[in-house]
Amino acid sequence: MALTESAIGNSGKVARQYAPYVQADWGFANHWYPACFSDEVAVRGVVGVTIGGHDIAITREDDGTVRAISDRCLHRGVKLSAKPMCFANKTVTCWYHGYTYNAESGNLDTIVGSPDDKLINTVSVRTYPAEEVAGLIFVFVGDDDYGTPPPLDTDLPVKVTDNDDTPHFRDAKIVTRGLRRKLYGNWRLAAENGLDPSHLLVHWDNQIVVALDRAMPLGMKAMKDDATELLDVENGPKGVMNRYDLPENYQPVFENPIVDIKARGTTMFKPFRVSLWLPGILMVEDWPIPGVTQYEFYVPIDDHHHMYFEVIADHASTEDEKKEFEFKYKNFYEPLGLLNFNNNDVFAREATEEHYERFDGWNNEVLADADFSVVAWRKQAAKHGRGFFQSPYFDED
Amino acid sequence: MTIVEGTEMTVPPTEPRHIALRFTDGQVREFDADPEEAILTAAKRAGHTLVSQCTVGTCGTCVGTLIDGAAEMPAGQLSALSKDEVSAGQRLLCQTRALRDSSFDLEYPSTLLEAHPPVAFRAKISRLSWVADTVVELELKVPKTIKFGFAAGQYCRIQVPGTEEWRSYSIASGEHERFRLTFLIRILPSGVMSDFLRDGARTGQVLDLEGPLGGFVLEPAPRPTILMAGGTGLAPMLSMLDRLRTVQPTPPILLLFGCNRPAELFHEDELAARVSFIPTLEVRTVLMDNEGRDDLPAGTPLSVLRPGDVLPDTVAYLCGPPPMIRAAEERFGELGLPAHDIRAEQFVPSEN
Repeated sequence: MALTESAIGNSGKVARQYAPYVQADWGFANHWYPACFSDEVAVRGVVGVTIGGHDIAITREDDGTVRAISDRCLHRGVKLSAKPMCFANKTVTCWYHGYTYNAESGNLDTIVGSPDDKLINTVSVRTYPAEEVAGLIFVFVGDDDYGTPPPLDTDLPVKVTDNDDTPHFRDAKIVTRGLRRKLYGNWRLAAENGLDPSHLLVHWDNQIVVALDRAMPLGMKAMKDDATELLDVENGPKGVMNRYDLPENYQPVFENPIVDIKARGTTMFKPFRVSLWLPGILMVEDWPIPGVTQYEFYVPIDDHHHMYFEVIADHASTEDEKKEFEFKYKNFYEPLGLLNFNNNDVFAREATEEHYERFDGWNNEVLADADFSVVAWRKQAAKHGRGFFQSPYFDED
Repeated sequence: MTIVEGTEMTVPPTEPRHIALRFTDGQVREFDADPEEAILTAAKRAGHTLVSQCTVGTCGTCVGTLIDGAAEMPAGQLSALSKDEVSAGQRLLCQTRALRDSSFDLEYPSTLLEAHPPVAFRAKISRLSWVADTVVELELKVPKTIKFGFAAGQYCRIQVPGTEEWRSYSIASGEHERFRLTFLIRILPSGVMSDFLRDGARTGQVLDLEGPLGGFVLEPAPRPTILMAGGTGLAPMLSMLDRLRTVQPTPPILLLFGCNRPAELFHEDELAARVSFIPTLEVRTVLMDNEGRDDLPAGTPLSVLRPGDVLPDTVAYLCGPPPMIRAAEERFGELGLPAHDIRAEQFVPSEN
């Protein structure tokens, strides 16, 4: 066996086949990304986020309309969101010298202490299209000459199976709760982890899995070449899907006698479905329990950090159903699912970053059969990414 | 179209001429030019810095097409334009004087210059790889402090270290990779840049550059596109493919790529990969001498063009040696493409 060859890793050849994905270290531009949760932005509040190097301030008008403008004051470049100030409806005032911007047009409407200044009405900050869906605020981020953005629905996962009733974003009775955290690591490593059928080992000793005696496979074995299905919704979102609920596609692996390991747990659960969509959205249907959908967004901040959105979605119509969902979120989904269980994933992703950052990991992997799923995603993303974010920073080289 | 040859004058010799320039985005710039003043100079005086490079009539960068009026270039001087091209109305604006009020078409949008004015900068060699017996792929790392950006299809001038010689090369990387530029450079048995790349170049070495230059750029609106490349003329096409790929919806693209012989063929993997992630792209690779590679047709890029490839709204971009371009311009014309939908990078071999 050629030890050196296999030990060094050389995926440069295959990486060529999805070159635009490898180039997307700052993320794909010209897509809709979640900026924050709806309940984070009060009327006349300001929340600052960074997406693909774009600093964006999210604010809310008195009538509830959400607006997004550049979070850098034209004057001296401070972040407007560093100290939110909205004195009048539909404006954001910079806390430093009072430059006041129209939240819809970005126009410099006035300067608080210098109302006759000649600069007023001659300059403006950039604005970003913003929309609110199911408790999340989305913004369209990318090239400022991109033109009319495609509808938000082109970047939202949809239901692509018809055999059950899992929650999806445009459902009338959808309820969501979730959290977001800024994490170390490139957005692609985060996105790939959740789809990867062989990553389940990181959850082998997970506390909830042990406590529930849940039969968590060591991995999922693909039963055919196209076990990872390509999702190409016409005029809609693009992605790939692993249907672990189809035995003809996947069989769980519960033991490996060579290393004398067996999956823990004896309680079988309904198998879930995992799909990964552009520009970096994971949808896990029937997870963490049947009938519930977990969404994850991996929003690039820069080339080494992403905002990790973890969202639980369910259906609820009555006040009682909504209360029950809230109770379960606070006492089950969030502490045990989004934190305890997903922290295994966070650990794995952060541990992966160093190789990709410092050792040109994209060209130096040794991929195995089980990675066909990740490669299918990379190719799909390479085909459908609408552009590239670039570093806006001058102080790095 | 009225093109008046020679010295027929309808305007007194001292009167300024009114000049109109029409860009591909429909924008028109108007100004006055003195009788003895080159159009390029007059435009600059009026605040319109046009695409140009050498300003002495050899590089061909500043070409425009006379559509109305009369304008001539000095006779008996070496020019990047052939007689046919001149009689078809093409003029090098750095050499052209208007005989009376005149209008010109330019093959690039008016926004090109405002978007990316040329800058002088230094960049480090980050990779140098031989992709064929006679072709080097050079990757340069541009410091982020440089305000550099370009439109796919444009080129840079690179100074050969230790000499006063500059050479022009199209950028092969995509617009989004403005900090990591790649160039495809044909290596000749002798020549200052060839000698340098073969014998002297090292990773980490710093080169002087100027750019971006040139008006060989894509139309803003997506149209069925034919890219025809001979040898390292593939470079601007690669950058254009990166741009076209993200256009929604991506238009049908046909790339015709020819090399001399198998040992000079390069980027087969690269092109196959692009076909896999650009569903609307078709590539036809051809070799002048295909001995040992009879899986590829023998001939020129033009020989694998079929009449049905050219649709009424097709736009063609050509880059390669002058004979290939001249033959292709003629053929595309026969197939019904108007001259302004046949864009060519005037490729002037300058190695010595």
